[in-house]
Amino acid sequence: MQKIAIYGKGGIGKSTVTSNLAAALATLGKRVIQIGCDPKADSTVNLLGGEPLTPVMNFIRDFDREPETIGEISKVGFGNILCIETGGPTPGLGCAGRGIITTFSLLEELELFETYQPDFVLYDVLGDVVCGGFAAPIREGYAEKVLIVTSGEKMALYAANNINNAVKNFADRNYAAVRGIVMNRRAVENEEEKVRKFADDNNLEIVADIPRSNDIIHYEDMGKTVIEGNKDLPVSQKFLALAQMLIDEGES
Amino acid sequence: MRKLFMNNNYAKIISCYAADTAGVCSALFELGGMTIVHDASGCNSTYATHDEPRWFNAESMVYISALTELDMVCGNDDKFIDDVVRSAVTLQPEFIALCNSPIPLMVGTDMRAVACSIEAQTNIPCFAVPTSGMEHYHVGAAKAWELLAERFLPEKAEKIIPQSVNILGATPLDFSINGNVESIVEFLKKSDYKVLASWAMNNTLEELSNSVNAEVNLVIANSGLPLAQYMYKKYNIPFVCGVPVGKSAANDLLEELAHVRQSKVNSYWSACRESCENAQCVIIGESVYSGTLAKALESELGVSCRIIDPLAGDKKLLTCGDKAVGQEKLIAGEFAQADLIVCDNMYLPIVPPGKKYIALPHEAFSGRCYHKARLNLIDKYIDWKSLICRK
Repeated sequence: MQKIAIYGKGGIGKSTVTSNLAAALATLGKRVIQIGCDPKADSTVNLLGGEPLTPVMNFIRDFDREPETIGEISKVGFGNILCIETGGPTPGLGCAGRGIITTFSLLEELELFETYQPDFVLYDVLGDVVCGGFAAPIREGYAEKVLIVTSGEKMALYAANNINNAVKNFADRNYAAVRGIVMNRRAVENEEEKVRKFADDNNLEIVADIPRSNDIIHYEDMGKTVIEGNKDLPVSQKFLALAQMLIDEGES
Repeated sequence: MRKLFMNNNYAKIISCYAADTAGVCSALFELGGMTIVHDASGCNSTYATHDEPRWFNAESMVYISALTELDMVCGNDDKFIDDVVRSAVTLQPEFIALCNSPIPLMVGTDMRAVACSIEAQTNIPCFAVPTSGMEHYHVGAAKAWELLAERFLPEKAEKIIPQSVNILGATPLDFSINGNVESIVEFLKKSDYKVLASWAMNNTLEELSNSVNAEVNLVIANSGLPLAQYMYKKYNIPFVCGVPVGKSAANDLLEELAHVRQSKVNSYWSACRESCENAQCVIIGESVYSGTLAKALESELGVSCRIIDPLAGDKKLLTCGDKAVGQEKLIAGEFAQADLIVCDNMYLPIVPPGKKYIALPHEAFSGRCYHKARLNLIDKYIDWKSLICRK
């Protein structure tokens, strides 16, 4: 089982990358779980035909009890991907970071991995590693690899640098390591050069180069990933290549 | 004063049981390790002044981290790690146990990672006991012993020693320091058992490692049950749950120990009783002790008994007619239906006037308040009628 956390600046396209990667892995025959770790709870919506599921924190709030089965807080989406969202507390109240930890503890108690036996678990994490809760996906026992999504925009690279430093600071804790960068192009001037410089400066590999594509927007409007929409598109092939690389790494 | 109406968990009158962190400290107190509760200073006084009767007479390395708001908000884990490392290098404990309290729990401090870091810097085994400060004491004690067993027990038994037994679940929180545990050891010895280890009173860490060679485990409290289940799974040592209270129950327990040594089938013996909703006597407290007490009272006083477990212990330790109830209002309702109530003294304010009761102080509930009134009922002929009072 490979467990991968996807980090990056807010709005950079983490959920798009994560759900397309999940869809690509599923298309290549792998059993996948995607866990959205963002109070917005929109990570998995494009795997579910645009129909959101009930996030764990919302369930707890609405029913005033913990879920007793995985079925109560998950939906099966495209390619039999099991979709889960941590959700968040009442806006403006509570603690979103703690919500992630609570959700992870619950999923452990419900023996999610033992029951579902996934090949891949993808954690789509909100923005930066802002506190203990948002570092939870990279703790020992959770993700072993981190993918950082960035464009050539200054603030996106700034956030990517923060994330990389945060992960490096946890080196003595047996936390996950950064596997590489997913360049999600935004048509920025000298974009590749900027991202490549950041990667080289930090000894990181660019593991995928996702072109800016209207196809992504087109299919997201239909509640789909591009993989589901048309897996032969050039942009779909990029996600399939990334998925194949991760599969090969796991098998080697 | 007006009181807030919150929910049924609200205890308006009675005390509350010791927390899981106190359970960890109590379970590890005598084993030469260093136990640190990661919490603000002040919370340790509850343990030191209420829950731990050994505090002033025995040395132990139980500490509080004196966590501050700024340390927590700023994520100063390094400060905590440095403090522990510096102290451990000086004190050279056998192990280091870290306990979480509600504050670090809420901000998600990764205590397992902190333990890893401390172990790497000191070369002293360090583990994080996943406490919350919000569970009952037996949960913390059980987790601490399980982690200790995983770290320190040998992989395999050397040689099973015939007629040998371990005692699991011994802490002053359940058995005080008035000779109860020593009496259990004596009782077993005079019945030709070799007692290899008592988890964890009157034994060193080194002595506990001999536990794996035992033929059977005697679980005397809920806190010992997870360790018994672990040792059964790993070493195939079967267990019996019960306490040799009184004479008749003590003799029956001996028979059960012999039977389990032969059959290798685990026995929740203290729950092997006939209990019913309308029993004359209600016993409230830790369920292994209470269950055995019920057996003793049934055979020696001739009253039907049922037990109330306010500690959310293992359900296998209850039988039909027993109840797990922790809410004051509901406990009072159970008391109202009984002719005789056996309870800690701090339950007496909710015992209805005119009812008969037997007061048996329980350290985990009333701390040291009734220390001198604690009874040692192990393997003794007891004049139960003389213990009955009327409110």
